Amino acid sequence: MTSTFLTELIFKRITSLLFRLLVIGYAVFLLIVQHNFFDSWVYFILAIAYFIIHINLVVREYSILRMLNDYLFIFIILFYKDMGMFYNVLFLLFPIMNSPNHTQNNRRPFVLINIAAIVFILLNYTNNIDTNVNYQIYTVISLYIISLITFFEYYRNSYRLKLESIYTAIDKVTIRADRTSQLPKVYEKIQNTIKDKLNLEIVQITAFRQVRKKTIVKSSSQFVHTHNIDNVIKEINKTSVLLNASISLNNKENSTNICIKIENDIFVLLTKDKILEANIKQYITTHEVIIPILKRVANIIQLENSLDIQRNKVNSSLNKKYHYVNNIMEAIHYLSNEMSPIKGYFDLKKKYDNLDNDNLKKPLFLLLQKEETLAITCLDNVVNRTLNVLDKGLNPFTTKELKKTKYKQIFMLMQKIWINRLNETNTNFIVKNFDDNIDKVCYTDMNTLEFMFTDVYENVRKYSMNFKKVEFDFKNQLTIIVTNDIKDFKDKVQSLRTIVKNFNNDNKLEISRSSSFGLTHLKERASILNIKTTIDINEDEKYFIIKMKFMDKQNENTNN
Amino acid sequence: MKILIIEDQAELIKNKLDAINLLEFDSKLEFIYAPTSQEAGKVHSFIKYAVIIIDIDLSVNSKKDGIGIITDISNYNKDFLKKVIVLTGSSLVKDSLDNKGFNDIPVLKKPMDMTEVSSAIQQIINNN
Repeated sequence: MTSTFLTELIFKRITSLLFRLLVIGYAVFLLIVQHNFFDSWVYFILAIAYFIIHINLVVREYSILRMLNDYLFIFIILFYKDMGMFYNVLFLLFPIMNSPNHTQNNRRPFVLINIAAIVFILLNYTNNIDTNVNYQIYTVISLYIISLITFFEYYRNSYRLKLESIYTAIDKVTIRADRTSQLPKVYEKIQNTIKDKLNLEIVQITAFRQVRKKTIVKSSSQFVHTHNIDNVIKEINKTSVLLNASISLNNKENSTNICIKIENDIFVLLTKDKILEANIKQYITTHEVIIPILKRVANIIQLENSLDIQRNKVNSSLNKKYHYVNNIMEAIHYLSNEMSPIKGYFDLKKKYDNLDNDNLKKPLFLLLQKEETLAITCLDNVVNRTLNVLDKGLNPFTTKELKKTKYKQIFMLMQKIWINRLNETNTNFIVKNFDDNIDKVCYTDMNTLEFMFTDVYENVRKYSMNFKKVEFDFKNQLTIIVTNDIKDFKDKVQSLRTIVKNFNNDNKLEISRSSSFGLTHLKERASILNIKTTIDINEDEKYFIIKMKFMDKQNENTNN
Repeated sequence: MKILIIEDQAELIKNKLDAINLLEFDSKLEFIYAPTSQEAGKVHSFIKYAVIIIDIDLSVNSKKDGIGIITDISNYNKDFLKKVIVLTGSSLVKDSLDNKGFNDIPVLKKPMDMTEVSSAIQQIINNN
């Protein structure tokens, strides 16, 4: 049982109880203002009995008996009273007015109206006040008109509930994390649920879209290799819904279908049986259930489209990186091969220089000359073919362009890495001077920044114990200060002092030589993005501090 | 004494092997170069070679790589493995050979070291 359902049930129970109290209260009013057939104590016992019976029936969930209990109580209260009086008739209508509070499964609009009509007629006869038949007929007709409205409301509500159950089924499928499209499963759920709830058998759902005057299949519950829906495309713009159009899917003719256009997509639903245009139930099913569902499916198609575009972009970027890494691997392999004659030349030269045997010197010299020629060729090859991998323009990992970026985007990126992606919630995030500088921007590259912030995070994660703090200061140039404690500070303090000294001296070589606490790339990336990065240690607090100041001189307030 | 060199870039090692032959073996060695497994001939013909030097990463034209050739040798006659030397640029080849049970085959790194290759050839000749 879902919590929403439980809450709704509790509210219904409370409403139901309040209604009975209202019935009893109104009954007391009627008893006070009119002459009564029975003694007061009879009514008193009746009210108590009515309430106790109601509670018992609620527990046992006998809804129809509850309705009968209500009308029995109303009948006894109204017994021998003037049914021409408005306030007496109003009492009779109480259960009908309360019917919207009934749960959908317990709604029986015709039963309710029939009982009300019977009670009304009985009261008229038993009370012997007005037996005019016409008067009774008019009243009963009025009651049935009310019941007709209730009937429509009942059906509308039942469709709404069916629609909700299909939405729930779709949501259950779409929330699953899966790399493949969820649409075939969504279609399967729709088919099954519509069959169960609405008794309409849909054998296939296929979504088409026109792209540059060509009709393509966007998604389908079953594989579609060939199709012809030209007739649908001609007509669908006029009506949005076409029934039993003449189409062909996988070279099979079909004329039992519902075709619906929703925004850019044309959905073709093949049905087991022909849809009758005059069938009001099927009309309601199409317009009240199928179209809203397909609108949701169209949104899923759109979402999956967007995800595909994103995925393609990522794949394309990964592909470039893959090729680059491959090129590097090949270049290194090539370099290793080309080094062979160069190394060989020096090996031979050494042997030649150390050789005492004059008979061997001459043939060895010839070999040395051959190796020398080969070595020179190989050196040329290395320069011309291998060293071009060092060209930064070919490196997809390098920063190509700095883009205008809001300070708050940088903050969100850092927070995302810290909190969302790496599930870090112990860090104390402090933001200073935010309100006055909300639109401030700088020129930077978010990809490189992401690598950089990840390095910073990894550094903190690896070496800290508990204390982590990230301070953002939006005033002037954006400054980020990351502070953390250090495990085994006493043991590391000496190497930390060296690292701080080397790091702040802008000497990359020194950083990479020593144990760098993961800071080797930080300096390089910061330098590309023109971020002045310094580190410090607070020996009293045993804290390690990284300070990043965005030195971009183009900082400005944006009007965007 | 014939030595089979299965190597697709023989020109890069030829001068050094000739120098080894001249300086260490009185030019008694005869090097036979095969750039692919097909050109190396059938495994049973390997009996005529005193030493077999195999590069693992052969060209795409070769039906088998060095590991494939060694496997064939092992399947035909395990004793032939005693005259095999592997020459490779990859540091992972030793592990790969060990995993396949070819632990005793000497694995020499590229770019080749003349002294190392000379010693390995000498050792095989002495043992057989």
